[in-house]
Amino acid sequence: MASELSERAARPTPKLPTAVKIVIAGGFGVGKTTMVGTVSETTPLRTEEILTDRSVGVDDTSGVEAKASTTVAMDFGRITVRSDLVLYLFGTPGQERFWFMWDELSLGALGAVVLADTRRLADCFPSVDYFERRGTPFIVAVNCFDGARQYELEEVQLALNLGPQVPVMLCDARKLPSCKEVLITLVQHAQQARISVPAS
Amino acid sequence: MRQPFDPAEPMVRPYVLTRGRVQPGRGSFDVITQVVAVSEPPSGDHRELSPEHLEILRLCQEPRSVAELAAQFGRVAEEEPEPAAPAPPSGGLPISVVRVLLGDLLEHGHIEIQEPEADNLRRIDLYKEIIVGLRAL
Repeated sequence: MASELSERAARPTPKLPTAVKIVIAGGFGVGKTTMVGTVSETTPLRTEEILTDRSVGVDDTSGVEAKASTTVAMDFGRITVRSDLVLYLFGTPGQERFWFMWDELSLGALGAVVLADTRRLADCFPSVDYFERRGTPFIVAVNCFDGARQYELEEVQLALNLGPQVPVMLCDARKLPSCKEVLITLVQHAQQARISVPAS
Repeated sequence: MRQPFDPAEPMVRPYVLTRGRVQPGRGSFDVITQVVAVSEPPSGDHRELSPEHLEILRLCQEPRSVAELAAQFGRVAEEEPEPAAPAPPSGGLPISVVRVLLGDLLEHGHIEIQEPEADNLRRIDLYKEIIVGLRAL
């Protein structure tokens, strides 16, 4: 079987690129898909996962077919950094009942951007808690909606009870330069968190 | 407990395509695991390959992530969604179903995969390359 297959594979297989993922989290309607779309090389793609018994930690797959209609959607995009390096951005599903998807997305992620809206700052509390508990490097980016009250970044930092090491910045999820700045800040922060010797 | 039969629900449940399996036989298949077909999709009838297996093989002639395969499954290749579309169109197959089908393809030697390595996140050159790439956007 194997030899027959290897004979058919006459052409060289393309070398598989290294893939890295970044999670874009935050409350519902805060601009996650907008940010994914702004920086991605294509329109955001949407994919679905099925909510099954397995997802909530019960190891019993009987009756899965009866639950298959519960799905959770997530939007993602792709940035080809080089031919051998691809970056994926995943927007988290909004509802907290889908934490199992967050676990899957966050496992092995380079880091996370928590998008915040100062009109509904509490919406991003669960995201902040989640990445703090997991130890995933994250930054907070305040999406500046038109007409939204502008808070000082220190106020946001205080309100979220963030340590001074967590970068907090303003952004506009519709603008490429702004989204680039957010992602670069995250990558620099993640690099410091994972590699640099902490400056005590 | 089973729910009563609802005629409005689609008759072909996603896990019918996997013959009831919810986990792949081989591979763990992260959403960003890279997949590439080692050959053209074989023509004719194949005992071990369903039309869905063949569709996935067609989609991964070039390297693709598991999430991309799930999202692009069953969509016409030329189809370009409206640029201003507020919600992207849904993919044709749930990720967990694609995982099981990819496990079959891996088992039968039709694909090569590269799972993401945790060690990558400790490579300083990786961060530098990503930053250079982001600046160039």
